[in-house]
Amino acid sequence: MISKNLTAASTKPIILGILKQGKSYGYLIIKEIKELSGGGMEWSDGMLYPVLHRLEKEKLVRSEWVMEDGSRPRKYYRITEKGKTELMAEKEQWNQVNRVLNQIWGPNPLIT
Amino acid sequence: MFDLEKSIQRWLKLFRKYKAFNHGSIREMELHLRDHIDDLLAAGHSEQTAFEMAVKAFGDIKSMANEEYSNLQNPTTSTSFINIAMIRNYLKIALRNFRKQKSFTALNVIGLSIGMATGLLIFQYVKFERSFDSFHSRAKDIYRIQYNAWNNGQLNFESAVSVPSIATFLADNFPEVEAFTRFFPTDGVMSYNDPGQGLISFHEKKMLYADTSIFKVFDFELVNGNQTTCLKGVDKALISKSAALKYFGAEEAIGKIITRDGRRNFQITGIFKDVPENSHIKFDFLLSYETLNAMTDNHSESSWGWYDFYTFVLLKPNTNVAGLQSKLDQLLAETRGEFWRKRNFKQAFYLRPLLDIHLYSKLLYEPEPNEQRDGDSVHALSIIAVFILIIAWVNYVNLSTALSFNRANEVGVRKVMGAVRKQLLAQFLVESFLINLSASIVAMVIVRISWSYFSTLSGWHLPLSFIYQPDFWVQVVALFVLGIIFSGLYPAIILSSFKPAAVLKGKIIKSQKGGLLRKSLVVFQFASSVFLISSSIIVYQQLNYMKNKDLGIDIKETLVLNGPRATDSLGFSKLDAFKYELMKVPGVKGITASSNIPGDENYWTNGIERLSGEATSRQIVSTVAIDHDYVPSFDLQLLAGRNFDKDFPNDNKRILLNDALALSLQFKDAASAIGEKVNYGGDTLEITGVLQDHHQMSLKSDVMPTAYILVSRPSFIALKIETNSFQQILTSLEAPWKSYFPGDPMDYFFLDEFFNRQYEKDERFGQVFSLFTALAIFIACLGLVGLASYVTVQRTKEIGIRKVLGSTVPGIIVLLSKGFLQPVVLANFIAWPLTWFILEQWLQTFPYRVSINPVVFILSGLCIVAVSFISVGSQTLRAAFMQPANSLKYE
Repeated sequence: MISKNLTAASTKPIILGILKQGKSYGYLIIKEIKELSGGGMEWSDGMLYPVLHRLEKEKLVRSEWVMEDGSRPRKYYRITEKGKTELMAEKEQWNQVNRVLNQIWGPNPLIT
Repeated sequence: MFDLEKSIQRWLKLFRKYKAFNHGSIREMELHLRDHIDDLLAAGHSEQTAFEMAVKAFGDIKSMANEEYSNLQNPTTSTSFINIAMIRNYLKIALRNFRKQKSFTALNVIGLSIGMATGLLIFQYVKFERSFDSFHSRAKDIYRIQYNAWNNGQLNFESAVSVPSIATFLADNFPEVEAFTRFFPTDGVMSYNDPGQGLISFHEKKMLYADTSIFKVFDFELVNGNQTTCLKGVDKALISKSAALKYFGAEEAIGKIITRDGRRNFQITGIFKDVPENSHIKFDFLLSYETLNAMTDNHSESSWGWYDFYTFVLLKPNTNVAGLQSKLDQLLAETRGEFWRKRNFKQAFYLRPLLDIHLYSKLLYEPEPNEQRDGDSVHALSIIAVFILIIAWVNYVNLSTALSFNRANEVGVRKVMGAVRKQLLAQFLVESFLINLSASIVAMVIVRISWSYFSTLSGWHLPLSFIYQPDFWVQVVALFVLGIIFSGLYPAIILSSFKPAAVLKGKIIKSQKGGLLRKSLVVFQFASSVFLISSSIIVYQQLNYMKNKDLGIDIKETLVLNGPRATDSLGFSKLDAFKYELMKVPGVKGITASSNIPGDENYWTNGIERLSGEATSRQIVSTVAIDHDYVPSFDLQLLAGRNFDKDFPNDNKRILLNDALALSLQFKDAASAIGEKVNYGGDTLEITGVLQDHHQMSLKSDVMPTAYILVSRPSFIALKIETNSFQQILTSLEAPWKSYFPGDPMDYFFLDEFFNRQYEKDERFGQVFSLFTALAIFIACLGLVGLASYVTVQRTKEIGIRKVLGSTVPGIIVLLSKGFLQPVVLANFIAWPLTWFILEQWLQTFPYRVSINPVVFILSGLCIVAVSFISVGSQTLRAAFMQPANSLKYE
């Protein structure tokens, strides 16, 4: 089980990363996260929405309501150019953390 | 039994407790929940289990609300969300208001745009008038020498041309003088013998003798040739680009030989760019000064008496001009004082700034007297522009404060709903912004469309490039911003100051103060209009007076030929033969040859001195050389004595004076001058007749003392003709002209047209003035129409009741018009004395002038009353004729 703090920190890159693959709406995004983490990330579904709204306010994503015949209306989110840049920056940070952790816990462990 | 729908609704209610969620986000949650439940149902769960699972997965609503709330509170972007929304709202309300009051909005935009366009056009015109000579990079350091001369302690003349030696005197004695240059104006027939086309010749009126220092002092541009050597040596000439094209076409002009008056050959050594229109001095040819020196025995270098030279000095930057002037005066007195005392004569030379010449110099022998302007009139025009703008702004203020009472309720409701004053101000300023913005755009279009018309009207070629220059756009933006402030701020303050409690209780808000202000603004508008109307009438009267006053010389039905130049000096015998030939042409009633004609500035002067009677000192007078037919042909009146007569072969030792000269030579009367001897230019001549004064130049200048001598010097040959057979006469003239003067082009013009050209610029000025008067009145009337229709609408009910109670249609009209006529009448009484005072000042600048007739004021007053009655009348008539039943149903 991943801790709450780590979940919160990783939400932004995860959502941006998912939206980078194409537009999506809240329920689908949650479903995808759950599938990718294999249920390892503890999410309450509702917490996604304030995050999405904040990202929208920061102009990293934008949204539109789409009405389709025969199905429910959906509020679709898509990533903006600014969002893509932000995602690159996030990626770089996570990679750095990853590199440090790899060196610490790597084949020649300093601490065991 | 579990009800899924009810449970969902109950769950959604939990969200509504929190302000953080808006309708959209609650809807978003609902859809999420429903999607999830659908999936769970599909997985085989019961409705109740599915709902419970989905709600559990969704999580705690309160913590969500907290998150959303912190989102709202952290402004992450700089543009405040609320302001954008407010501005959008201001715009929406403004546009809604414009739509509701289409005609008032249109009145405002039309009035403001005409006002702005007028202002902008006038500013461009004034800019051009003020731009004269400013294209020289050292313009501020260039001074022209003004020459004043006194005889017997009396000022003889103030002249733009001076003596040649003053320039060298200045340069030799004062280190402040960096450079100087002199121009000697001349004219003549220039001919070029083209190997292909034969002789090409034109009468060139604008030629100057000059040396290369012209390029040191001024920035006239040489496009081809060497600046330091091109005017060195005798018989060298520079030619303007367009003149080069005229003579040589596409051929290279440099090195070509051009012949002046069939006698003297000049070699073209350079080509200069055409002199710009905004130069006070204009020329097509520059002839080398050394040629003049060679012809005059160096007099043109050293003379202290011959004053035909425009002299310019370039002073070192930051020279104390007043100091230099007093040093010059002192040194002149020391070196020349002795000579002056002996001749009872005095000379003075003043340094006058180059940049003041076009607008402020009114000296004798200005190079382009018809192009000279009166600086005060030009400035008066910019003041008029400002007035027109104010009139337009006043319209806006009047209309919007009048209409404001309709919007009192709007203001009240807004205030009750929590609008603060700042927001209300913003609302009304946004409206003013939009009106001024549209007016600016329309004004731009008007300026662009009317540019060429306006340029023609102004008499110049105002360069279109003016409207692409930054200062033009600064003016546009300035007018736009000032428009918002002047026309928008006051109504905004008034409107936003309404007390909601009073307004919403339905209290009538009719501030006495507002009404008074509106009335005084209307008074201002109409006082300006009355001023403009009566001024244009008086300006027109003065111009008309000058054009129609008896000149004392008959210039009608006179065809003038430019005298031959290329043909060798024309003796009387040859001239007589030519005249005899022409007299045979049917329709020619008389011919006379002379050195000068009316309307042509006379540069030829000579010293004259009485030899008998009370000794008077030598004075300098204009000279005209005439033949025997000059006096009868131009219908000049003899006050005493006789005209030159062919029966008196000794008449070339005699002289005619005009009355002004007889007077200044201190003869008791005309008759007593006859038979007296004078020393004239070194010769002793006997006075044979005294002519009544006539105007040589326009009535803008005084009659000059003039002497007439009998010398064959036909610069002009004037033919008195019957104008209706003008074409035949012209054809019959060609053959004799060619046989007598083969080297000369036959140039002709009508004398009255030529003479009246002196008034052309004044007339244009008058036209510009009248146009703007009309525009100002039009704008003022727009405002009046607006106010009248507003007031009439407001009083519709009152009118209905009055009619029901027995008022007649004329009674209603009087009632409604009274309110408008009062300020108009008051405006007249304010404007009349003001106009009289200002125009009297203007008229005093003319030696011959009309006196101001009070009828002009009454007329312009009546005119304004009529115009305002018409503008108000259409509205009041409609109201007066309305059926009371309809007007009472109104509202």
